[in-house]
Amino acid sequence: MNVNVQDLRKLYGNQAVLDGVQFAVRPGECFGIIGPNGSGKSTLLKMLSGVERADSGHVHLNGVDIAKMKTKQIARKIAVLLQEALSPVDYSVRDVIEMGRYPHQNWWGIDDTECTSLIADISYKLCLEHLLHRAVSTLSGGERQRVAIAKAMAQQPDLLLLDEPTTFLDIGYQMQMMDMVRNWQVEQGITVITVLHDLNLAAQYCDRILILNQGKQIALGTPAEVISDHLIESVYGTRPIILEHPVSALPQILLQPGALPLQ
Amino acid sequence: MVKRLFFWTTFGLVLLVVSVIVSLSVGSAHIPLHETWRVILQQVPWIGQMIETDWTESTEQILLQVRAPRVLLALLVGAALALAGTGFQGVLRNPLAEPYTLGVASGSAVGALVVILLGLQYAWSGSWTIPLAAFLTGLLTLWLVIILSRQQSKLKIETLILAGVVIQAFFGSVVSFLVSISRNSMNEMIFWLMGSLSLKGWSYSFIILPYLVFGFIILLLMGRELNLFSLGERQAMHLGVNIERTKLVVLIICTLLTAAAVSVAGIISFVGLVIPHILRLMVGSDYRILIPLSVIFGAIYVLWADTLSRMLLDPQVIPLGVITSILGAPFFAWLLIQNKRGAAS
Repeated sequence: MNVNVQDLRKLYGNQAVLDGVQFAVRPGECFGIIGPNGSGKSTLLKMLSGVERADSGHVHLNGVDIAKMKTKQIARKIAVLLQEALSPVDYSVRDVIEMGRYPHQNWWGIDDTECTSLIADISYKLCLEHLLHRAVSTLSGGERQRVAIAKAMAQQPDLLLLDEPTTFLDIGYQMQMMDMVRNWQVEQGITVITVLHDLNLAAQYCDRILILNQGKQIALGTPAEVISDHLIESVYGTRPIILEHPVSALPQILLQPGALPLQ
Repeated sequence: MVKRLFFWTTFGLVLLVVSVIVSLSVGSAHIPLHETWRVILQQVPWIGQMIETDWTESTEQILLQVRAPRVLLALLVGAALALAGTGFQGVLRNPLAEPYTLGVASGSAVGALVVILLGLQYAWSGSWTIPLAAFLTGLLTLWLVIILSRQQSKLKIETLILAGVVIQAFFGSVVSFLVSISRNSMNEMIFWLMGSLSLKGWSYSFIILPYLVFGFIILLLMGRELNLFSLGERQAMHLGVNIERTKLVVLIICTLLTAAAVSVAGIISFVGLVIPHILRLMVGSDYRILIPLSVIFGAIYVLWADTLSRMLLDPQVIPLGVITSILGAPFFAWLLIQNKRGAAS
């Protein structure tokens, strides 16, 4: 899916939380958004998913202004994974995956495609088959995050938005999560836009990265272009050491204690 | 899902029919069960002709003119309150939510009590005056709550509940004030406040029936939306639910149901709070199942409560609201304990 963001601006009161953000995401791309706390990342994601309206500027999905789309139409195109995964509801895993079909169901709850085989397929891919009848509230955090991905897959979106999806996961589940998303992206050709806290994950998984600071667009480019020590220092206020990953040759950062320029 | 729904609905309906027949047969004049169900069956078209009349005229009078309207009203009031409770809990995502959370009960009570205090029970529209006044002030309350809690055309759940509590407290003290200044009609007021189904003819059932049918159909169609709501509002929105519209529609429908029930039967407590929870413990949280079952089991619950209220201290009648709580609280506690044991083992 083509995502086109034009001169986006969002005010909370008189304060601009986003100002002059402008970029285009190509179909099938994995696009990362990074920036310090309060830089406007989450607000940007909310606007991309149609939760918040822009004060000026536009978000176009395949040429259609998102402000003109209904909630259900948006949900047929976009799935969103939030950082808090799923609340511990007592629905079965199967029921929750099936909830992803909601935007494709009509008033009476009848699906436009046959969803039984779709759900079987997804639960096979994500190794959820043995959990299908368990209540979500009895699952671990990592398993719950997998159910959330399964629900998003059942939604069959063209665009997947992720809001710091790895925040509450240990490194094993972080990699598992990002790998599952990448496999999905490659297999189905979907477009992925993800907000990430972890710059190393962003460098490894994203084709291009957008850096935001105080609502402004600071840099946009491939990981090798934007992960540089002076840029990171100017945005985050700490000077890291940048190394090349021995396998992928992508830039990775190491943190340096005491390297905080205190002015 | 369909299998579970079918099983519980069948079970509920059988229980409902048995309860109706038993409730009809008991009372100050006892009518044997085998007569009761045949009198009822005779009223059913087609089958009725096959049943011969071998009972007295007065038996039929008592059953059809005295007890049947009361039983029907009990069923409808119970169904409406339990359905409203299920809706409120679904959309407010709060286990303490019930039909009276948003202050509708106290609002309705103010209307009814003002009418009683001024001795206007039969003014304007005859026996309909109290229900009408109660219904209108109930709606006014909802309108106030929504005005109070609306921010930029969005309803925030926390604000909504808070506004409901404030309004409830305010109208609650108005109610206490009205009761305290009345000299002659205090008994009538207190009886109304604790809920009663006595001496109401068929016509009261027709007040509540349209709201129940209409509300049931709409809520049944919104079962999936309510399921998605329990994942959280933002999740529901990302799955394509128009959350502001869903909230408003469910709140209005449940308020209409509550106001209709309160206006004919007074404030019957506990039903709308506890029936949805009991059902959740029995069948899980799927609103596509909870909504139809809350109608059936709410009806059964209030029917039994009302039967007990007229039987226990016969000829004295215990207020219905008292029975619903006395009966419901221990049962609920027992279910909770059972559930804890189930989870521990």
